[in-house]
Amino acid sequence: MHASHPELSHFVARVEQSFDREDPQSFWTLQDDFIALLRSGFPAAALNNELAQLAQNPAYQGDWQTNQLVLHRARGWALALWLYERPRRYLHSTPYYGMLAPLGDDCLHYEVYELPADHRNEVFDPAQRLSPAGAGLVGPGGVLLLHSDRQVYDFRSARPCVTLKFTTAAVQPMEWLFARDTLYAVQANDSTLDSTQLRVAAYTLGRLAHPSSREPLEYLSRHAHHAVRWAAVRNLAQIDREAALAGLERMSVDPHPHLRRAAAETLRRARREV
Amino acid sequence: MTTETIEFAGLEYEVASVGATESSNAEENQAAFFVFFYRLPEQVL
Repeated sequence: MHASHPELSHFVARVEQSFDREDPQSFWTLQDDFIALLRSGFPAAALNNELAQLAQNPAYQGDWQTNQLVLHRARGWALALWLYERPRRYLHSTPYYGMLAPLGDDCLHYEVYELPADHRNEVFDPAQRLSPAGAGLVGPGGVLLLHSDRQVYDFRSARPCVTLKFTTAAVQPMEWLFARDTLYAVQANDSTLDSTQLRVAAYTLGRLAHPSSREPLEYLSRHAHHAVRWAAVRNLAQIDREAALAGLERMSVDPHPHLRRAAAETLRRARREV
Repeated sequence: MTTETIEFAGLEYEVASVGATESSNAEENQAAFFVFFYRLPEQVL
């Protein structure tokens, strides 16, 4: 796509120059570049180019996902044309930073909710409740900045709305779901696929229970995501009880309170059995 | 190595997999980074 779109090449170069993956806040320095790309006519040209290729070659496969056309993906960020269609059943936090710009004549309406001041993304708590913080709309040429570390957004549109979407990879480990009627938290999901996959892998290794999996599971028991650590130690126990107990001892002083308490309770039960 | 069962306590709140209950922001963002999806056998709200 770059060859036929110098505006995209320029934008990619700017992002690679200014976006520091180790410092996600640096994403916000790219607002002017995103606006320049938006106003360059690139989104329409890119879409027209894709449609022309599809029309000319029935076997053509662009980078189309369910509700978006990926224009560029790089390590730590992506640019896409995203079709917003309808609200979801729950209000969702957004575990990444983003900039959204509706295209054409459509407006994207939204309501904003504040996360509690003591919100910790990695520690799910159903007592946490959103506070309504007003409504707004982004019209043609406008850009909405998703300050998702402290706000939750609920979009509305009279009809499906095509949006230019510039996002970082996940900056938080979990995506929270809130009930629309009570605004209380009801569930937390993994924000990255690898966290889910690693838990599936730990479960599979535990079922296979081969001694060669001991080392990988011990390694996984130090993963950054607490649910991955817990899945690792649980399945390590299928292979080596002593190694699992050692992992539980370490987790009894883990920074994550849920893990700390579950490990302490498990150790109490294990000692009772002896 | 011994493998006698340890009676594990549950975490206070399980973490669901990406997009477990309905399509999620992460899932839509991940669409830009990943192709394949796996789901854990877990509760759906």
